[in-house]
Amino acid sequence: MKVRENIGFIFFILLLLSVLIFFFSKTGFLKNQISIFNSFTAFFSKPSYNFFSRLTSFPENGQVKKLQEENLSLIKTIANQERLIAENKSLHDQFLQQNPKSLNLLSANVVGAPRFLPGITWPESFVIDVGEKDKVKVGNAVILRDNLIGKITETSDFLSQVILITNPSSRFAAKTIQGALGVVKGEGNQDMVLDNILLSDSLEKGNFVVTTGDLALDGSGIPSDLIVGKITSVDKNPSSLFQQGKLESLVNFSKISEVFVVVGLK
Amino acid sequence: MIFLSIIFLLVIILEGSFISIPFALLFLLFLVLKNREPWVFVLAFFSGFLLDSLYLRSFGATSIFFLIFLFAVTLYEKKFEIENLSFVIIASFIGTFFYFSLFGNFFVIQKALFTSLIVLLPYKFLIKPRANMN
Repeated sequence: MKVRENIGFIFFILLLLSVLIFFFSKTGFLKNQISIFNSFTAFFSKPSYNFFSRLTSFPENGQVKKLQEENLSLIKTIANQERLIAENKSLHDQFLQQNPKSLNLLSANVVGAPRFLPGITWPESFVIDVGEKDKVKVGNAVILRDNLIGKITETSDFLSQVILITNPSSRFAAKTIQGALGVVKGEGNQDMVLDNILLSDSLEKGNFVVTTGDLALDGSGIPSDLIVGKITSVDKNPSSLFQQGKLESLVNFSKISEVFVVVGLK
Repeated sequence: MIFLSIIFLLVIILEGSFISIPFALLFLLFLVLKNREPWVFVLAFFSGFLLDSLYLRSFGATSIFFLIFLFAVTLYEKKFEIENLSFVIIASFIGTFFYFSLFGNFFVIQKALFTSLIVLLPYKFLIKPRANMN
């Protein structure tokens, strides 16, 4: 009975301590102490990882190893060649477009799509391999063959973050080809709505939606007449102030590997 | 005791650097089944910090989980015979399931099932002889 009481007492004391340490760790109060402790444990974990991985790897035949390395190098060459062909085709298609002028575009590769799990979630932002060193600025539009993809929200020297138009934090003005003005709002999972359209304006399923243009004096922002998507359904209630339509982009965001940044208009 | 500590330290380093099976959790489960004494909780407290450091988690998270899990096991001692195989398997499955779920692992059920199967071996050598003696 005494032991059981001791266990209860020790449990509550240690739990309290753990919760306190967890709280301080979360708030960054113990940052220095934790980094010292981490460097100490890393000193042990690295050699143990090497040791165990060597222990579980089987000895390889020298000839097989050489062939495997040669195979990897050949695969890399083929992949590079295929990438160059695709890039060339993509550049060719892009520069055939009339709007916006090709001179103002900067080609970029998608190098990251945080929290995107193929088949489970849709991408909501991209990280691209151009940054401030390439004259990319926050607010620049990102496009693919006249389709608006998103907007630059953060930049570092060599990388930039693009918030896609389907991201719930994305908002910008747009209109249908027929002239109904509204606001495009991202809803996540590849969905968007064109909201705040006057009831008197005509909005129908199948209407194409384009940007109205939101350029700053330095050329940053969203150019006009970029394609946003197509109306798939209309929600019109006579008692409401506005009508809205569900919007679908013509671009499959999960398969994009290359985009173009509009770095300014001439 | 020193031998036990060295083994436990090795188990933590192995789990933290190479294999994603919660060896430390299983080790602590067997310790609490064999020795229901306060020092097991102290060991759980410190081992949690080591694992947090190796996994770069928020400090204290693993300790909180270990302590609650072990305390829950000791509470069940009042109601059930905890030194039998079915309890060990169920406890290790539930413990592993919540451990993996809370710390953001994939294939949680498969891993929990696998872990609850591998406890059979240590059970045979550590718990069963004592149960037979009683």
